[in-house]
Amino acid sequence: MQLRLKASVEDYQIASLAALAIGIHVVEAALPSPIPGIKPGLANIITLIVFALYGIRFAAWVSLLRVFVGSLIIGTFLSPTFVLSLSGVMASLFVLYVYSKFGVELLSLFGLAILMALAHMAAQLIVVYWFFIPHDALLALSPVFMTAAVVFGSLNGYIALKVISKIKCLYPK
Amino acid sequence: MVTKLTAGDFIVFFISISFVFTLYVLYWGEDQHARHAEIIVSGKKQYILDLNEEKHLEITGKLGKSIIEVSNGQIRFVESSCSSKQCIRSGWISQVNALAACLPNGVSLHLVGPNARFDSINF
Amino acid sequence: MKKIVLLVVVLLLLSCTKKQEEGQVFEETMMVMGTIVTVSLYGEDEKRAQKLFHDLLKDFKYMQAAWNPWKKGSLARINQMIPYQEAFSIGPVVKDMVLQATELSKQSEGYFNPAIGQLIKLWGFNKEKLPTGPPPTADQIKAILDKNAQMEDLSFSVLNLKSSNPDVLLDFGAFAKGFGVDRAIEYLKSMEVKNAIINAGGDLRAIGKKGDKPWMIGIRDPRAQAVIAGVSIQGDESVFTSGDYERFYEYEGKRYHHILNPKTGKPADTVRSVTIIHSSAAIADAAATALFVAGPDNWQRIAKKMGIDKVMLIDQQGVIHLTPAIKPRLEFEREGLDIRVAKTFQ
Repeated sequence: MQLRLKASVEDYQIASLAALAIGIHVVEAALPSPIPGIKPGLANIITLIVFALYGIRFAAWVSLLRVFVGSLIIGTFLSPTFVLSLSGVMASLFVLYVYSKFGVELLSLFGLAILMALAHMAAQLIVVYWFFIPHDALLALSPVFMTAAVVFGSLNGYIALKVISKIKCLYPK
Repeated sequence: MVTKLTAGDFIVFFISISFVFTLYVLYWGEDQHARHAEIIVSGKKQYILDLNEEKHLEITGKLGKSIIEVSNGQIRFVESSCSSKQCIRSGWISQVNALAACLPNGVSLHLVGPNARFDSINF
Repeated sequence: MKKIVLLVVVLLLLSCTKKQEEGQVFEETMMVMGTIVTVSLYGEDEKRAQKLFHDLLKDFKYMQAAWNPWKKGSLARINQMIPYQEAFSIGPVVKDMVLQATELSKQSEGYFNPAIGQLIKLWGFNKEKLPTGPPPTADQIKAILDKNAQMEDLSFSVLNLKSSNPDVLLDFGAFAKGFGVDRAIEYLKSMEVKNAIINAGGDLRAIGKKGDKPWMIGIRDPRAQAVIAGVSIQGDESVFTSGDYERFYEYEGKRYHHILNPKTGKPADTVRSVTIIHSSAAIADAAATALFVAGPDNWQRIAKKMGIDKVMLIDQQGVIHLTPAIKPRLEFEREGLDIRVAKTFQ
């Protein structure tokens, strides 16, 4: 008897989108940033698009795959960087879950992205403070990090919104 | 699924901006008042106190007891087992990096805060 | 889609990442040398910092035991032997201390004079517990001043010390901290530490920087719990302050503090504080005391003789006197301060 795992077209699409997210994440990690810890988080655009097209379960999969596989590729698996990445993503996925239950009518991907980015950054700051550097200097840096979260969250959200509205035009679901 | 910007989006956006602005005001101010006091006993950090919480704390050092009081963002020694009582005489301290100590008892108060403009204080 | 994935994979292979090491300041507070010593290190990892703290604490404890003039130790032993006016052997480190103190005492025209231990004992400032008064009488003070204990009464031959004056009693309170800080910094340098601050009871020496930014030091106001001026450290510098607010007692409404004028036998009362910036901590320590005692009338002359060019002296009226060299280094925190630059100082 032959056992064949049949991958659907959806599986392929999700796999490619996950690969894309991972790729963006890794390349972004290679880029120098003026302030350590601040990245545009462009891979989050993929998460948002996947959520809009396929729902929260697949968005969660793509996000977590991005964190795990990305860290394996970069070489930071199970390192503090990985812990931070994971904390941030878990927090933003929680926000996404709440949105999927209650907020779908109230906000577009734009507002959602901002909230997810804030949750992501806040979770990371809290983890750093509690587990790594319990120093007040961190509080002094928080305005900078949260500004970045709002800025890049808005940017990513806007891009995701535009992409989705184009796709919806083509594939109304 | 909404494909256009909603009123909710703008609300979220503006609330986030206000939130971030508040953070700047809180943590980037030139205010040199400390937020926490570290209490070091015989070389080990034993307590971290929030200066915004009123508190009376009894600490046991080499010689005996020292009593610390926190009030209104300030901290001081109220009583101590040392003979010179110099620690009590230094009174209330509230500035970032300020120090007060009962040397004979091995207890020192070290103020920390997010806006430390100075790495060390000379006095 | 496939093409994009391929492109991304290619980019992955081409990318390499390098995580930037963020520097952190490690700080440790120790109670030693009769005061609180805070050591700050930058550019070391936590393990190394802990080891350095451990070694420094050991070194400080050793110095504390050796230099205590009143309990058992090298200095106490010297004080015991001096009255015999015979030559006796001393260790090389203490010899260096005594030699340097003698040189500084000469340069300061005796305003810095660590040989006046008997005077300090008379006032009761040798004990940990502060005296309560009453202060010594004029006769008691004169009796000791007449003995005229000076560092020049000491003479050396190789590792033997002899005093021609039995009433010399060495108290390096105004000097040992600086000497100890210098030794500790030399130790850190020998361990290839490039950036550090050692702050002993408020007097400090700093080397290097905090990453891109210089170390910032706040100088406390002699009359308030606030910083009066900030200094940014350039290279390897010590910042030492002598003030009338550190150790004192009050009796019948008058304040008597621990910095005695060796010439009058009484606490020097013309100045609130003197702050010195200088490379050597030992010199800065002695100079801060000397200029404090010399007062507004004599400080400039003494500063020049001791090779000091960066002085901030705050007199009893709160007027701030600066040398031209220190003025550009200070950033005052308040407006409306009476600041005068000593123009005749070259």
